[in-house]
Amino acid sequence: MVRDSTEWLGGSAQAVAESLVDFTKSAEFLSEESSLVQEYDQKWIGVCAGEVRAVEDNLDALLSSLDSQGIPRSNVVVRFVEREQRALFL
Amino acid sequence: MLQGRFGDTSGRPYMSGRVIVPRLNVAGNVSFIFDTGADFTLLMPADAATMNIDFNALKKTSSSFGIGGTAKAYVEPANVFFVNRDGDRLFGFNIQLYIQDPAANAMHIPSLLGRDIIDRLRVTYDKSAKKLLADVVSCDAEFGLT
Repeated sequence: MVRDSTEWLGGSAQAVAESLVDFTKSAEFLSEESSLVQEYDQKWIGVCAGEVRAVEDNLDALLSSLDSQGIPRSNVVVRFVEREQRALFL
Repeated sequence: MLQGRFGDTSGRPYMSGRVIVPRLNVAGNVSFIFDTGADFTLLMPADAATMNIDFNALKKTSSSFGIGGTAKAYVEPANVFFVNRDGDRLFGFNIQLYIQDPAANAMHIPSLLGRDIIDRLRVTYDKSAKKLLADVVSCDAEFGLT
């Protein structure tokens, strides 16, 4: 089933796909780069295009830092880093 | 075929998707925990803040129930998109997105991809081979890319 992309996406399907591919690469970088856990324990970090672009103590400051750098939030993987992972039961 | 990943430290399964909330005119990419125990897809406060969701504009309330008890949530129609492994096809799902109230003590918890979407996939979950793969059995929109 193929739909009109503007109705669903608000824009180009190609642009959305490219954005998702880039975002996924950043998420993989975050998952695989174990040194980040040592370096940024207890910090909020923003990863974009395979690089740590902002590091702050709280989420509001992190988002402000990304905005001030002109980095689109939708392209950034935002995470709170914990060296000691708490067990998660959802 | 969609491809997820496993967190290196946590071992948790993740899958990235694009969330679009048309009524609020907001969109953002989200790294979801792939959660077959979640009845619905749930956007957690950190991702909602990153997407600039205005909680004052959310009307329909509900609640989510987990091991920590009951928490207030909002429900909003949304579209969630995933790109296939080859990067040449987008699959869209029209869902009722649950959005966790920011007052809940859940700022550090990633958003959850629930069974409203997972039930429409055929999933290979192989942690030992680091493979989280999913064929789309059904979806609400599909776009081929050139």
